[in-house]
Amino acid sequence: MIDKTILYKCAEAEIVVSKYLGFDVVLKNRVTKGYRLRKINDILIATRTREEAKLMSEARQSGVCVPIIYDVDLQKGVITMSYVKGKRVKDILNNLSEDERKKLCIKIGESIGNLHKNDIIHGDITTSNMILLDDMIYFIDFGLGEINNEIEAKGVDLHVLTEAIESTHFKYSNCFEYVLEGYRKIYGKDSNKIILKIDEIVRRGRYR
Amino acid sequence: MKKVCFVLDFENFDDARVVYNSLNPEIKHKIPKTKIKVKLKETVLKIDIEANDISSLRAACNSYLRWINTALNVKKTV
Amino acid sequence: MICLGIEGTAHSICVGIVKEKNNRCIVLSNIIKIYKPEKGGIHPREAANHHATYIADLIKDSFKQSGVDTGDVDLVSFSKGPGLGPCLRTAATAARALSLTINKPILGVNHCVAHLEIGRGTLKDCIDPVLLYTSGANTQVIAFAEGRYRVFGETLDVGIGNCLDKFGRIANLSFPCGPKIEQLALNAKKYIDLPYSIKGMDIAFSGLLTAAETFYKKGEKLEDICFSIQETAFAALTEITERAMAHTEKKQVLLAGGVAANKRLCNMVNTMAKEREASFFVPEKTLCIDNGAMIAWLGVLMYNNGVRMKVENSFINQRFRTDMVDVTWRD
Repeated sequence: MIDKTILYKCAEAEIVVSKYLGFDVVLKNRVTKGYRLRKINDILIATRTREEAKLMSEARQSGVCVPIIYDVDLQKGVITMSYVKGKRVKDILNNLSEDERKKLCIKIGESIGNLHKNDIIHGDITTSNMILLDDMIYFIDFGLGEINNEIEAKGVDLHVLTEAIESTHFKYSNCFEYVLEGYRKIYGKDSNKIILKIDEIVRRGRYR
Repeated sequence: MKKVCFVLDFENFDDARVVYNSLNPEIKHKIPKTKIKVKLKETVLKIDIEANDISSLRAACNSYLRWINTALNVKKTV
Repeated sequence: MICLGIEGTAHSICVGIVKEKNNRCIVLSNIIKIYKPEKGGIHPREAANHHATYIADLIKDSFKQSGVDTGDVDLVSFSKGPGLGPCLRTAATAARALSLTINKPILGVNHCVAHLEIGRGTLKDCIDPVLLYTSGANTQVIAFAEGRYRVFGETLDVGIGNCLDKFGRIANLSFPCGPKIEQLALNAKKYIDLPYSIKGMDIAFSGLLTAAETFYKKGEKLEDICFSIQETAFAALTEITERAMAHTEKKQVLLAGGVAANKRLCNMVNTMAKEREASFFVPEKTLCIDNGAMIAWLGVLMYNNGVRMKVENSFINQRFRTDMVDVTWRD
């Protein structure tokens, strides 16, 4: 590691730009948090790093775009992956035309459908975790994900996205309808069960 | 169908008016399996409660008596 | 402007009187009466009976303590929701009776928003915080975005306070169990691994609760379990709060709700804030738990910004969502 430019600091990790065997890469470096018990900290960092690397490769196999992984260090909590030099969907979604937004959202739904069809739960589907590059949507940050075939898990996964859309793209809350359109297309006949589950999750959430 | 009718005669019109108006939004707010009618005539408040079963009837009676008492107590303390 | 606020969403019935001066909140009186069931959880109707029994006296005592005359009050506000129906309706009825008797306007306000606004109104430099609101039934991460207070994260099952109480009941601790769990945790010898469940900015506690119960029945030491519950659940709460701060790019964090009285939780959130160079705020305890002053203060803010309500329309709303309130008093 020669140079170390911090590209982005999220809540749990630093994203550092670097070079690996001549390729442009980013290192996702999970940082130790002083507020939590060291034991909890170490368990969380190791499991999330391992899970994230595993889920990224599974996502790739299911046909969803993700960065290429070059190296994983569980002890240090570092994943070295290709640098996707695109734009965050969060930053562009509000500025698109209705037509472009619809197309993009359907595509997002198709990708989520592909993940769920393969029982991959992303765990944090927000528009900050999607990067648009050359008409393809790259999914990042699988750190809270898991493999799970239950309707409940898939419903919760989609519910996270509804909250992100309501809070960040509240003027375009119809976005979620388009996402579901793409989702249904890929996931097929059982998608309604999952979509109904989202309503149940919203109702269940204590008096918001 | 089970029915109860309360007839409450207050000391003065102002007491009756405050109690009636304090209850009013709760009357509009429907309770399942229960029908409520409240009428105010001078100092007399008449409350008709109808319910499908006795436990719903009892719950509604308790609620209304609690609110009437609350409103009257508040009025009398200030 | 002077406002009297009545809070009655759950186990507490409270009356607070506040005065607005240069856009700051001055608390003149703030009386809190908590219903404590003899055993088990809260029974909404019994709590409502408790509230009905005490509310008139609390109003009288509030006037006495604050030195305010009934004629000096400009507004009566009450907790419109969210909360338990029977409790809300009793508090609202009392507020209407007071408003009609002293012939002053009435305003129903959102309980969760009130928790946030009392922090902003009474704490110096607390301007645009992310709120971690942790009480019995409520566990939410709230922040201001484009004219509304929006819920960025919340519990997917039970509130953290209820989670602590549920475990406390299993372990025969008396209600409220949070302070006892905090006490026991101080004497722990080891950490027992418990499920840590976060989905995006949402959180879940039922897995943790089940695991804790299993360890208790297996004979693990109560102190160790209490410690582990706190360390796990509070770390998760702190993490979703940090996520919301990163997401909204805010540099302030505010705690509210009964569980904010827990020193370990305060300490964790404070450390997190320091690590990201943000400032940490927590109101004094009586303004942190459910109280009437916060209801009064939100009433002032709304009334001064032109919000009006007629007595005949002063309904309660058990499921009054935080983001249903149009926040006209902020830019």
